[in-house]
Amino acid sequence: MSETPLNLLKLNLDERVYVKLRGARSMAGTLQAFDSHCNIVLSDAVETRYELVDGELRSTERPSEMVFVRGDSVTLVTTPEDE
Amino acid sequence: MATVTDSADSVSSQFLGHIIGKPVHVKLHSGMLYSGTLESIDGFMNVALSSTTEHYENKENGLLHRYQSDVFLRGTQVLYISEV
Amino acid sequence: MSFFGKRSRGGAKGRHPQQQQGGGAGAGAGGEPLDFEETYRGYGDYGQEDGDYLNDETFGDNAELGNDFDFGHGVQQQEAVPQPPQQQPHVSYVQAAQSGIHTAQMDTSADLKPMASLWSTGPPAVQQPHILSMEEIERQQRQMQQQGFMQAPPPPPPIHPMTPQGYPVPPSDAPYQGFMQGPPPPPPATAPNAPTAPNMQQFAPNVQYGMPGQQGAYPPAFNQGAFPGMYQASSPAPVQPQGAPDRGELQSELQPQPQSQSQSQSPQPEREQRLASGQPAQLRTRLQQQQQQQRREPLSPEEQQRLQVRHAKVEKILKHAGLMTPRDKDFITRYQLSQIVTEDPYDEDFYFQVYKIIQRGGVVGESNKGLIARAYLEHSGHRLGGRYKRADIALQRMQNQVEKAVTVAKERPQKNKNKLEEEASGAGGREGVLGKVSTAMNSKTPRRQLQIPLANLRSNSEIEASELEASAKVPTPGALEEVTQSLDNVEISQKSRVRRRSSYAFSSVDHNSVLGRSGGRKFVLSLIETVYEEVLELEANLRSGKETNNQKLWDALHVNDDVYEVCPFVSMLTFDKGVKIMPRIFNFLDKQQKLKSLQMFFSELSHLNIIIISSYKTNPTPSDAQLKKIDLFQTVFLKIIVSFLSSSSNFIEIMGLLLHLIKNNNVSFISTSKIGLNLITVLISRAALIRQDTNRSNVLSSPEISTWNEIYDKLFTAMESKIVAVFPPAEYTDRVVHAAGSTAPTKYYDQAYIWQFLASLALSGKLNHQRIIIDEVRDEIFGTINAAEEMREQAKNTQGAPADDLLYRRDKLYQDLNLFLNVMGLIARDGEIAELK
Repeated sequence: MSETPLNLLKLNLDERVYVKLRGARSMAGTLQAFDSHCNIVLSDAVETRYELVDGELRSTERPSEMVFVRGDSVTLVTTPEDE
Repeated sequence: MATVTDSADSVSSQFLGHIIGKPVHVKLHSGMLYSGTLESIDGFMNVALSSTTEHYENKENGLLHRYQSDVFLRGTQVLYISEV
Repeated sequence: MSFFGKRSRGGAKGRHPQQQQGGGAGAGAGGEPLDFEETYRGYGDYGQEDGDYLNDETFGDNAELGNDFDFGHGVQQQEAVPQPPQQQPHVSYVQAAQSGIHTAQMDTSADLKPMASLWSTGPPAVQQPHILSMEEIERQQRQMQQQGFMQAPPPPPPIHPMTPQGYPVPPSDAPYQGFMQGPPPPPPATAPNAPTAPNMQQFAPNVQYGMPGQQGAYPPAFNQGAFPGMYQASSPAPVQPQGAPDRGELQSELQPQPQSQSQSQSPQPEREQRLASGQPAQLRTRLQQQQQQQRREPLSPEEQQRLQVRHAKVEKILKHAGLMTPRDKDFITRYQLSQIVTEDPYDEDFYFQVYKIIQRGGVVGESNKGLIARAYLEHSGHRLGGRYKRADIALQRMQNQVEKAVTVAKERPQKNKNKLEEEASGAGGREGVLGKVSTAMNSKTPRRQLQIPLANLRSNSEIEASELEASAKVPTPGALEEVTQSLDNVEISQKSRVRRRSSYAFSSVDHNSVLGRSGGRKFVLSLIETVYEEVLELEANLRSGKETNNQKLWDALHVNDDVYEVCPFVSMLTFDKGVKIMPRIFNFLDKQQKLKSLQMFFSELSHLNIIIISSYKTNPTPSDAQLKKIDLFQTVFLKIIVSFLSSSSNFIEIMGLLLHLIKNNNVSFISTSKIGLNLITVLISRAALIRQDTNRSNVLSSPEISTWNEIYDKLFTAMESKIVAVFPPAEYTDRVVHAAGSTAPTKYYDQAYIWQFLASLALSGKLNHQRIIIDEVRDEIFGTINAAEEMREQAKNTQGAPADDLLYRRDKLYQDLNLFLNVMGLIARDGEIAELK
């Protein structure tokens, strides 16, 4: 079994993942599916958007039951620390 | 054509095969620098790192985050991979 | 510009063949003379029509016409109109075009002269009849615009009346009107002409009958008059030139203009005459005269039809004219050449390549080099004059080129063949003339940038693991012997495995470290993947009625794997997906395998992530996700255990499982978790049931009973003085109850599982055990009774649904409590404990 990065990502199927996106966004949810383009389907997901308001970092969260993240915007995938 | 890619493949794969399991820096187009142990890499430049730390541009800029578990970095976002 | 569009749609097309053929051919062959006789199948003969009386009638027979036309530069109308050419029928068009160049140059220079005399105050120009081209008129308009309306030219001499009868009045042309409402043309420079509209209007529609060439010759005033809409949009009130002599009259005439135009479809000679006499614009007069000359006679329907047919034909030919550059043509020639010279005519065919890759086959033909060269020249000779001109130097050059091409072409297929042989079975690409034919399916996946040969990435420990696993298959001793054997070793439990420790519950709190001790998170997750694949395969086999060999699945579970400190099988249960797959795994395990798995499970309960997160001691504030996880485990895995115990286990096996639990784990810790407590309850209640059951069927042997007593004693000892710890503190129960993710509709913590545990514990124990239990949980018993009575009091003060709910909860509390009390012949009701009768 070759341990390509995508194979390692496959191990996280049905597990909580933290996805870093372009444009100061991140998405945490249960990894339902992904493909070689890094298109990702997350369930029970929470999108977090970071903003710098008056030099202060603010974040807004938006939950969604199921979300499809297009691969282009994905930069990083890992497991969330708090679980 | 074939010969060109063949030689390119051998050089790059030699390097990339050599650095698997070694500490590396991976710079993304966004400027984020990820430092960790290269767990695996594929032909799409997708990278998996373990014991990863996150920095902006260079390691001297301070630690932004320390990832407890493996980090997957998407190949299209990778600017370079360098051995530490 | 739709203006030109309109024009080209109609009669202007009539002159295109010559223009296009002349110019296009010159460009295509780099100025070399071309023979289009074959190519254009004589369509070009249109230029030689000499029976076209339209020309005469339209332009007068005195017009000197060339055959080179340059619409873009406003060649004067006379030159631009088709004319019976002077050439002989078999003169090539290129030659004709070349001969026409001189006239064209002449015309252009003539055209560039501004007609200053028209606008000067001097005497009117005498150079009539002069037909203005479209461009000229536009230029004039622009000039006038620059000069400004106020400096309008002096009044011209009166013109003679027109004869409107001579011009057919066709129905209005809708698209034309649409156009007129489009982009407004330059402002009405010849505004004073406007009043002439009523009669001019009749001319305008003629345009649609294939004579737009003349339309360009219309003075702006024409359009203005004929299509008031256009000007109404741009300048509703025509500007009155100051220089106009009879201003008052003009004004009065201007006023009713729109109405009169719309009403009068029939000519109004008297009025027109009167108006015309007052016209200041010399230009208008002149142009009107020209129009008269040109349009003496109307077009007959047959003529119009003929024209249209002709235009249609020409249009058909010209549709793709000039699309190919010399380079394109060169490419095609090269391609054709390669088709000729190749050994295998199909070999160089792009589409055949594709076909061949699909079909996997090839044909080889033989052909002579010289013949090819000749053949090629025969085919393409005309490009250099070829067979007609016998250009010997060109021939020689061509032969050399062909020779070269043949050599190259002969080398290529050989290369390809070699390559094909090399990758005979692989899905390689084939290279043809037009490029490489790729059969690789790369549309679905991203472009691979590098080929990285993946080294054997399996860690040493992993390999060791599998090796050791293979050798670790030890025969299992008799069940009871094993139980009794291990019973002796309860205190010294580090006997067999490196990872055995009597109490390491709290070191397992960090589940990452637990995973680390069983090969790492990645390893465990990959095991789950492997197991999943095996299960899918087995299920597929089962469906298709094939034999199901679970050996690979069993190996993948790593139940017997004692390389790791924590059994990978137990670590798999750390993940939800590991839990979810368990029922399907158990479908394919035999009884011994199930038993072995459960033994491992109970042995390593303290490492079980679910125990840790469901214990109020290690996880006092469980998250919603964790509560969900607990729920999942409870409904999935606990169910497996219960069904295994109730269906296929005997007393000794149950004792064995309990023993594994007791000797390897901190029982008092495990009992602080709901899952742990439930697991213990399941075991001891099942054992109690079997003991009671065997009273009827087969009686338990005395060694069995004594073994059981010993095991129970050990369990009790482990829990004694800490029994009350099975009750989670109020803070914890509150947290669980108020968890947002809690799916249960109840708003209270269900303690039934605790009383069930105490009941089974008491049931299996002797009287002294029961006494100790009651002693320890006395506070909880009375606490529960008090809580129940409190609810009754509350229910008295409330009404409706809340009261019902309170009473229900009160009953539930008593019910749960009595589960335990009944075991000892007691019953709690109405705030008191009584003896069960």
